[in-house]
Amino acid sequence: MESSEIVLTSHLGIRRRFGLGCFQAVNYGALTLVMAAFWAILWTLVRGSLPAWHWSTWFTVSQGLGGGLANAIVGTLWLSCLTLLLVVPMGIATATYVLIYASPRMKQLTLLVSDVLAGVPSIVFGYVGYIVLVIALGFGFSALAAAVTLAAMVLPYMVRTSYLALVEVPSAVREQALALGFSRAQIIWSIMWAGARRGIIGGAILSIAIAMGETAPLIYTASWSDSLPSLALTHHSVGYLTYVVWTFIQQPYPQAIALAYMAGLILVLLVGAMAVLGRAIRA
Amino acid sequence: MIRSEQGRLTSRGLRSLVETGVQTGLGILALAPFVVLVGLVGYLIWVSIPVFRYMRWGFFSHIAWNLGNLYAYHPVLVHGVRVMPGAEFGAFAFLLGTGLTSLMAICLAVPIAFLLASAASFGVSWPWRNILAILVEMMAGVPSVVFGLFGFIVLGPAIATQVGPWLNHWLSPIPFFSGPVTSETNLLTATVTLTLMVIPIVATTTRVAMARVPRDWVDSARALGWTEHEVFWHVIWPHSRAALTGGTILGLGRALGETMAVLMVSGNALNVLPKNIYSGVSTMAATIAGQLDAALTDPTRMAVHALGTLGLILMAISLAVNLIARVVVVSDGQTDHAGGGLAHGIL
Repeated sequence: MESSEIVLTSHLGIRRRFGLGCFQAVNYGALTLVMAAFWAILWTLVRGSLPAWHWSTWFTVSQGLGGGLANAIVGTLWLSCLTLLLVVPMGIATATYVLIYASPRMKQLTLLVSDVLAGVPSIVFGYVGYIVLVIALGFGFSALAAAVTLAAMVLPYMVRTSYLALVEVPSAVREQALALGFSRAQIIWSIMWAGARRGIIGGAILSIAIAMGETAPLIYTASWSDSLPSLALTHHSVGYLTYVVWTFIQQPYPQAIALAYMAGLILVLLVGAMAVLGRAIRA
Repeated sequence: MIRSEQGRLTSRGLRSLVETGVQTGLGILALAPFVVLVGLVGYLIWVSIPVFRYMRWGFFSHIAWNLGNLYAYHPVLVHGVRVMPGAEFGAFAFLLGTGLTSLMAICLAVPIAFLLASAASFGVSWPWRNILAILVEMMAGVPSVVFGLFGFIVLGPAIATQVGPWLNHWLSPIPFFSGPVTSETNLLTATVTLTLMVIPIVATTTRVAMARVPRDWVDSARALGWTEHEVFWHVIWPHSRAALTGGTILGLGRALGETMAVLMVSGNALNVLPKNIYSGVSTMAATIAGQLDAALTDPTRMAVHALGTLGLILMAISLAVNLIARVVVVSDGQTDHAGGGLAHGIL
């Protein structure tokens, strides 16, 4: 809808010209407002993080309220990888099952339950994750407890994006494969999943972008750690970037505050880049 | 002959085994959403039972949130539930805090989001239109803790030193808007922070619906000599009204459940109701996150269960809101956008 054509307004009556003027003024006002808000957020992060713009920020771990962000960055990536491993099979399987095997009612019900899950506040996942995984199942503050909690939280996004990708595969191709004597398993593997690959990968990236920006489900499942995450899945707490933003910003030490800004900046860029990437792959 | 017959049988047997295996495997994994939802709801209901036995309906109407005397020798038995003496769990202040922050944020966000959507789909010329759409979607992807940081560092001081006193000066005849501005983290800061978070969701949902109005209709209206604002009011707006409603409810769902940003800027007031928009508040979500540490010191686990009850109520409200949004958005034919009501703006 490119509307850059020149609009002549001189023939309009005063009332209509006034209305048009107001409409345009208000629209450009909204444009200015959102650009101001966005740049204010970004500028706050950039300016505040300037003292932490140093290589050591990336390569040293945090010590108390100082040091670097290496443990938080690696921790966020580590938790994201684990979450990905858990959520991708569940998401793809759910979407495939409802599309290939489930009855129409079952399909509707499953998608409804999945969408409803997307409306559950993240702190509820954090609370139940803490009580059930950390305490009752005895995982302790750990990467596994955090990843399971995050996976449960982003599951609906994975299900929905996989489903949308699988639906896009033309049903004619599926029917032709059936006519050639393909079994259902073969159709799923070489027609459905192969055809929906881009959409599914894009959806996985978007789901992980959502998981990376979360704090509430992690506070009581991953806790916080000053050292780099080990490969141990249980009983070893993990540091992550959102925790740094939340706690370090409220400290009176300039070094801690700079790290909090830096962590926020990295998060915004990381999540933004992944959202753009995920959307580009899906499109 | 027999061998080949047997060979066919075995390969068919293998094939049907694979078939069954794949179907069963996928079916088991497909139970995941049910397991998660039933697990969450079931567990929260289970922890809520003793809380309701102890507090009865007082859970909804009492203001005080008090773990009781944790140094007491023995827990006492009240209504068949073991609690520390003097413990009291009233959620009214948190219910009110959640309601106030969310509703005020929605009231501020919806007009702005509406204008943004109109600008991004129609109102401004094309390079700006696309830039605006991208910016709004990027804002939807900013993690909530970053909004919390922005609220804490920028909005809080600005409200305490500039906006608050100004509002107090001009609006003081209205009771809820008058009072001294004593702190940076208060109801107003929480509301404005939430507003920033809700705007992208409402704006994106509405923009997509507006951009979908067929180009031919817009061109036809232009050919009739209508100006931009007339085209907007008579062609675009009637076809995006439902999306604005749906987006508003989705945004409300996001605001109700928001934890970190509110935890950082609301002042986390316990045991008091906000007197005006400059007083500290706390919401249900922020209280669960902020009070879980303290609640763990309660040997009867009652405080932890009471937080779970807050979670249950919060979840019930959020689910109701999201289901309503889903009905509205789906009935508007927008199922393929936003996954039929997924609250996160990133999708």
